[in-house]
Amino acid sequence: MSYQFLVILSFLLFVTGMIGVAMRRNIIIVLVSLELMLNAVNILFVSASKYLHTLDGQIFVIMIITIAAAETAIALALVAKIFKTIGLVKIDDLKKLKW
Amino acid sequence: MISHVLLYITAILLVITYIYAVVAGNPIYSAIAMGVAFFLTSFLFVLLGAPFLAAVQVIIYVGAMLVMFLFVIMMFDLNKVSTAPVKYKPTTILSYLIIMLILLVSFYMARGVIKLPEGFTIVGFGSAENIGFYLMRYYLLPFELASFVLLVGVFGALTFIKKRKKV
Repeated sequence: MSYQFLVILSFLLFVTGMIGVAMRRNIIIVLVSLELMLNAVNILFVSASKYLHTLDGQIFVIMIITIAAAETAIALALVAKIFKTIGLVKIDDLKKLKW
Repeated sequence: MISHVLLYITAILLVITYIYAVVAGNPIYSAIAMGVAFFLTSFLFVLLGAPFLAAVQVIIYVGAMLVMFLFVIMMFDLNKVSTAPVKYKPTTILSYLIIMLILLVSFYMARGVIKLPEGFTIVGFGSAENIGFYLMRYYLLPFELASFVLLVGVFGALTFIKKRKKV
């Protein structure tokens, strides 16, 4: 298992998540793709931590997990509010800032 | 050598799961695929010498975040829940057997009957002890800031979801 392989793997996963954020119109799937992107970054940090023999990367992963948890809570609260207000969870329906 | 093979298998499964999570039509399938991807990532973390992070990954991502996603999705589609009786497909029985096998293997690993292969370890580099030492010694301020971020997240979510009083 070379470092190169893990870096390319995490690039691949990150780009997959990015395509999901850019292409999908369902807001839940966009959020899932966002989480998957963060997860790909976590893989990169842990593999760097292994090959540099320092624990700093793993500490950063803990921070990223914390931020991701807070971000998901707020994003899902927003989604619930949007659904209550306009009854839809498609991104294209959110063109109007005022509803 | 065995950890190399496992790593390549995990990588292939991760890519497949990610693609499925992105292209799935039903948000529930997407969220479940996300959960599978998080489990696979935690396995990758064990292989890369981060056992504590693997446990944290499962507890927070799968235990909290996936459940949150599923709650929100099911809140939206309540009228679409089917009332058809449950059919026991071969995949149901197969998944039951696989989960039973995993539980049995982990039980006998905990008893020491099955030895852990080379590369799987919960002591030394990346253990809970070392992570805790690093976190408290060199990263105390970011650690406290992270707790503050979580507090702000709680208040933000509550503020969004609260019903506004009519003025």
